[in-house]
Amino acid sequence: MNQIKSHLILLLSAGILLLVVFLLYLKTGYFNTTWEHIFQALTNPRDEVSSTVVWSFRLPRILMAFLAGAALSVAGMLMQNLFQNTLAGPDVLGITSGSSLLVALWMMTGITALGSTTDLIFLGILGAMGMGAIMLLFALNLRSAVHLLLIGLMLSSFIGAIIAIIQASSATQDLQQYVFWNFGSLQRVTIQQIPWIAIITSLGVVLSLFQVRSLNAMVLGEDIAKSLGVSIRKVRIMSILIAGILTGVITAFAGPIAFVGLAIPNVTKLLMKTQNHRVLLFSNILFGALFLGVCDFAIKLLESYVAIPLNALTALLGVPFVSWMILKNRHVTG
Amino acid sequence: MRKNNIKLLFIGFLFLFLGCNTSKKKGIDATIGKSRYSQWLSYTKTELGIKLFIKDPDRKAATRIILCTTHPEQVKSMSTTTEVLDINNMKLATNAATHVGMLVALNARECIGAVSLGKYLHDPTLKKGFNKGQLLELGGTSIPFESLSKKHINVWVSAGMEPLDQANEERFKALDVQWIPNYDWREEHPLGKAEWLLFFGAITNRFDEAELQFKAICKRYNKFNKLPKGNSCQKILVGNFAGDYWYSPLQNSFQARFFNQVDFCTFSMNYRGTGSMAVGAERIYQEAEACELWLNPGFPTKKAILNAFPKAIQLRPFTKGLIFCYSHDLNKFWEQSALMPDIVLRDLIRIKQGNSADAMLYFYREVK
Amino acid sequence: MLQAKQLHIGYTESIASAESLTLNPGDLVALVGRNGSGKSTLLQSLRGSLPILSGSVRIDGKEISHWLPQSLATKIAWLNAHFAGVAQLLVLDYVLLGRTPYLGILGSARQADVEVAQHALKRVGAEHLSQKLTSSLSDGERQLVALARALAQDTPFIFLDEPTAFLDFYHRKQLFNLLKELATSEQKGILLSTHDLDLVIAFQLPLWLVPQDGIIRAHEPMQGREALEALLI
Repeated sequence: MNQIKSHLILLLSAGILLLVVFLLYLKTGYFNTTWEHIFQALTNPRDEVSSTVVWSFRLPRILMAFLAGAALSVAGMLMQNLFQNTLAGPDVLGITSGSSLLVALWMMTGITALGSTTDLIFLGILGAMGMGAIMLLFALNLRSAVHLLLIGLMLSSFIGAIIAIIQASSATQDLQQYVFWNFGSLQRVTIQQIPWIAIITSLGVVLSLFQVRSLNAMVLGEDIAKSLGVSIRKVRIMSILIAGILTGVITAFAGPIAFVGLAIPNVTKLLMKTQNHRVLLFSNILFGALFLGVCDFAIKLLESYVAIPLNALTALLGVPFVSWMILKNRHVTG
Repeated sequence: MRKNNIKLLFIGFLFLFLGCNTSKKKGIDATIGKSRYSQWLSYTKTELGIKLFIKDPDRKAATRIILCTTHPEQVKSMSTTTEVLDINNMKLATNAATHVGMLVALNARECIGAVSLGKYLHDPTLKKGFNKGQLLELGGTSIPFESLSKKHINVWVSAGMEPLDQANEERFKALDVQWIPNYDWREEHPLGKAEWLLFFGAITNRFDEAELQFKAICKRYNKFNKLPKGNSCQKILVGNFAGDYWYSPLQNSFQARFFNQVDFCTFSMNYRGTGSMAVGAERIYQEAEACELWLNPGFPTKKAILNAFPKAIQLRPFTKGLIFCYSHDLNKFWEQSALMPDIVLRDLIRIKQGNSADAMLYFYREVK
Repeated sequence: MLQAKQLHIGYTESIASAESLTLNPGDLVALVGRNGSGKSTLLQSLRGSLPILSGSVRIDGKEISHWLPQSLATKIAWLNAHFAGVAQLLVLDYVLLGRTPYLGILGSARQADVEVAQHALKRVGAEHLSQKLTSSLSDGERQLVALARALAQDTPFIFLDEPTAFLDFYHRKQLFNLLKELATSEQKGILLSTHDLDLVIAFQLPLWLVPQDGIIRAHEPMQGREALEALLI
């Protein structure tokens, strides 16, 4: 069928581009690396500058870009279905600020129970899920999409206020640590942390797979979906759980990354021209990874000339692109 | 002929007469001050008090000319550009630790009415006073206007960084609070920064004392100038990440001056400028490979550094070298280092010579 | 067979009740009444969406509250008032969604499911729309594909909530024809909530009346419109 063919072509292209970006990224940077260096670093890293640069600096960063892009896009996809609203996204609805709050508390009050990395993951996920649940409560009682978005923005501000109060009474170093975390950066992740993030992201993706049938039916609205046998309550809970896990783990390590969770699911739907969530799931993973990978690649290319924060670039690149796609399809709703 | 001579004589007398008057006026109306090292502050002594000239480093505002006098009523016929500051019962507010340090050095504690983040004060007497509620807490962000007037504060000294201060001038005037900018933080020379001690001396009526102290500081600092310079300087790592980028000081920056004196250098000092340059992680990692020493990371412990920037472990000095910073007692550094640039130098020299046990250093400490 | 006995329905209080209502495969019944009288509540209660306050609703002998949602979806298909069309959704894919109760957990449709969907489209005379986007259909076409979706769901019962509200007279008549035909040939029990009294009388449909006093009862097909309206006051 035509549609299947075009889907395959698009996904294959995205996959190839992903590989290209990956390889180019490993080659780009202040230190001049040859393909030999890269091969050496990836297969049998030696204790010298070229290997360290590739293995400890470039590799974790690009892998984190891919993982973050994929995870946040899937989370966005789930949230847009959950709130029956294409303007939903983890950052817009304040899910990331939930993670921020708990991370802030941890960093600035020094409450640590387990090891540092485990703490961060746990708190990030807990914060994200907590906020998700609160937003869902509101969503159940609000019909208007605009109202829901406003509540999301207000809750974000509210949490921002709490964080500001914590900031005002914390020691300078802790404060510094939080401020830098809040910039959003793929750089802080170490290669040792990558496997954990990958595992947790994969868990989120697998759980999402099991929601596909219900998500497809919910395209017709909750009323019809129920009549088709879907347990709306179960879908809601699972969606919050999964979105919380995905958003939480990424935010815990890279700080809040804006815009990806909102834009990519919309772009994917427009590009793939389908509502089938099996296709959308994999497309979001590939396109999300590609988008953030390209963003970080651009940042790296321009490193010697201008300092660009990650969140600034995602917005700069993303906003015009999504606006263009929306305008192109303006006669279409949903 | 005679008529001409008389004319000449008459004109001559006129000139003499006018000359006397102008020189008398010059006494109070002097438009040039002098300074030894400061770029933005200059001063001159007049009969009625010290006249301060404060230049705006960005050349956006006009130079402020302030006459600090104990007898404001005696000031007559001033040029319109000169402001008169009544320094009797001076009670000022300041949000910078450096300013607090200078006032403490002049024994002018009673002139301090309000500070920022008082719980971090270093001077014990002042801190006690703060805890007893004698000082107003300014907080970090907005200006508490009502509280200022309640505590009879008549001068607000600030770094002038916040455009807010300039915008608030009207508000300040309404409350009879004079806002005076202090640009010590824009000075590039350590002694230029220390010279602002005279600023505080002028407004607290301790100018002579300030002059004496400043002279002594200059002497002590310049003694260190006599250090023999080697052919190649020792490469060090300076600074830390802020977000995705590392900020390292440039050639004419304040930090660079100190490092030049002790023959330390870092790669960014090859580039012109008075601030810092931003570099990516890879470059810093590379530059760090040639360094044994890392200064001013901004954290007191290695754990704290790692918590904020896990990648720091890749930097050579972290695992195979030494790290030094003053973060374990930040307020002591901020309050005192401006007036003790010689001690800062001494610390750096001792670090360089390997004589760096805790007891040997005043501001710095090894980061472990 | 769908059977309701001594039913009281409502959200917290009873707003309507029925002594005995029965729907058999092959029946096409019109549910008529004024707005706010309890029609929607009845539809919700009979399809398990709203818990009944007292009495019983049985499908194939089993109490409705005992049916699992997914199994119930193989018994009753629901068409709500207005299918607005969805962006990026092809008609065939839309009809395939009717197969949801039968699909695996990953939502993949097998060849058999596709054939059922295509057959359903054929049945309603809309197979030429199969590859069009649902958002590009006319109101009449939308109603047809919605019905196809319900057919694809392969249920003995179909409930419709005012399906003719947005249709012109031609399409309304066409829909009624189609429903009548489906009821008999496919042996479906169809419950049709409607304000279209003229067509209800023209097609001589058996009635479930929901008058203002809230006592719902079955009635034979009526002859005159005024008489029918009188019953609904």
